[in-house]
Amino acid sequence: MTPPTKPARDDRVWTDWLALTERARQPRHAPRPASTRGNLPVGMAALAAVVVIVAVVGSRFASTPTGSGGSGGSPSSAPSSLAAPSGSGAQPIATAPLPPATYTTPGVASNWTGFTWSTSPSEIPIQVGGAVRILPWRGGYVAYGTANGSLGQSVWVSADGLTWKLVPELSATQVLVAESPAGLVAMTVTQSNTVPPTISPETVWTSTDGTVWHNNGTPVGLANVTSIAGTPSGLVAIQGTDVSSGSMSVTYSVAYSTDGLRWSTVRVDPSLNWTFDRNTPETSMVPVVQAGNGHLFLMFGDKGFGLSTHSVVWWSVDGRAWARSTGTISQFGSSMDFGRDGILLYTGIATAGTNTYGFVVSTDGGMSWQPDDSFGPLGLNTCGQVACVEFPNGAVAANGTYFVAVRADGQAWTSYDAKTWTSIPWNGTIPKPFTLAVLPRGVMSLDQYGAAK
Amino acid sequence: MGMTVQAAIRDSNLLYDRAFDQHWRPVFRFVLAWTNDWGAAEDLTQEAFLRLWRSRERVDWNEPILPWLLVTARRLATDRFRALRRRVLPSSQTATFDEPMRDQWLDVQAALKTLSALERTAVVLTLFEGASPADVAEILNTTPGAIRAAVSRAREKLEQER
Repeated sequence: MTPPTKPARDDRVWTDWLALTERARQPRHAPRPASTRGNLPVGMAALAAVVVIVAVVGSRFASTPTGSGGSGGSPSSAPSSLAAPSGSGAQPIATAPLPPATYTTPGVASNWTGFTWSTSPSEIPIQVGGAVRILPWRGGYVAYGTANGSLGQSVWVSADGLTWKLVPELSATQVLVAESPAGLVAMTVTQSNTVPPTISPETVWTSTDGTVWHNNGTPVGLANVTSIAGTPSGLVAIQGTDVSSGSMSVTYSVAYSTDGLRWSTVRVDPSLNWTFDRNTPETSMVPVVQAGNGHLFLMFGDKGFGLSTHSVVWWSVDGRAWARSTGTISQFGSSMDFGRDGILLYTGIATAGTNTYGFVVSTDGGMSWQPDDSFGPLGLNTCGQVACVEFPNGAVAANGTYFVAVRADGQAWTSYDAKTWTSIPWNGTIPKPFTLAVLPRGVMSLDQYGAAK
Repeated sequence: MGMTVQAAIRDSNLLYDRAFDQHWRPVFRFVLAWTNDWGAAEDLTQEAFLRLWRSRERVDWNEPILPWLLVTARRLATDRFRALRRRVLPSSQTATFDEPMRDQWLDVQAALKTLSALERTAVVLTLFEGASPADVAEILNTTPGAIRAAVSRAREKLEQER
């Protein structure tokens, strides 16, 4: 590529844009995973890298599928003058060191009255902000997502919410986990290091106990999965299909299964436009399924789908019969948190400059919803800047039982239903909006873990 | 063998650092054009380079690495990986700005909202980065004609905004 040049037309907008990007702050150091960064001497760093490579070659999860994938939107070849390496066949990506095999998150599981803080949660591979999701399952828990210091994703299981154990064979570029009628189902995909990168087809893993997992190969009737969810009655997934080869549009659909291996399409509402335009990622959001409180939920909406109300939530018990929720949901529903007696739906359009976020609450299992314009006990962000007037003035998250809300002034509350809040001492790092994680026995706030007491 | 492996690792680390120095800004511009979100662009650029770090032992460093970075960044920004990041997060874009710069960015961002991601990216890659429509089409998984049309539409739209 040639150095940047002035646009042919001296357009003020682009001139300003270019000037702004010239002032963008490039990090002083090239990014490396936290686990491989540091001040090791060169020799030690090289030795560490060799150990990593040997460990990866010898581990099971590194030998992930290397198929061409056929994932939606993957370029078929590299540009000519932007020449790509030739003859580099698809290979599994070099894998970062595994997260810790076990870790503990101390604290009590009920009757929370406060938190005992520690500042060294580095062994806890949980990132705040939703990068690791926790799935309550048969009295225990499954945590899955991106770990601290890791580029791939992993799965940990816990019988008590105290001690967590890594499932090494499920480490991959992306892993999704859901409850199923027979136990648990996980889907893994791996991105190659080729040019262009390809994404492997999904691999289905099943388990009846969360500990022993079986590789069942590629699912039938399902590909390009963006989310999965399940109950003891059935599994659902969102999958995307390119409208045509090279198209910038992808059509999403809901698929149903009982075993995670064989899937069939479910028509939830064919009157809506399920086609997503990649040209406008800032205004069209991918539909998502999520499970909690014994129900499956499908969040869907925004102007890209031709909806006047912007957002719709359906609920289902088994994944085949769906009912549209009632109530007002004025923005796109992006995710839900579940408490013992209520559900909190986070809504918003993530377009900076016009950000509007909202809380919508259900206390009847997700059948009806009521907006909460005051963001629970948090209130509106009072920073006065254009980009944050519609933000909650603090953070809220949940673990399936407790909601925890922490306001910017350090006041905190717990709730079972996201409607009735009880004050609780905080005394820890104050999280920013949506950077709080609630674990079964405590909370994560930035770099601190607060064990519940 | 140990020395050979160590040398290879050392070389790839140096090449990775050089790629970061040379390509961070083009990758950032590309992602910023695609998302029109400063905070997201910083995050996705970081992520694209982290993926290069993981692949540094296997990448053919004799060939240009920028296409690899751009395609990876686009992938990260589109639906499959976006779905993992879709929990609503407040943009961190204002955190790195001083007051006048933030106001200027908000103005520019508002103006560019009238363009699609394809239109913005096509303009940036062809006019600012000097790539051909064919090259851009490969990166964005579309046709050269679509890129030319997108550039034309983008200029018309901004002209009408005046």
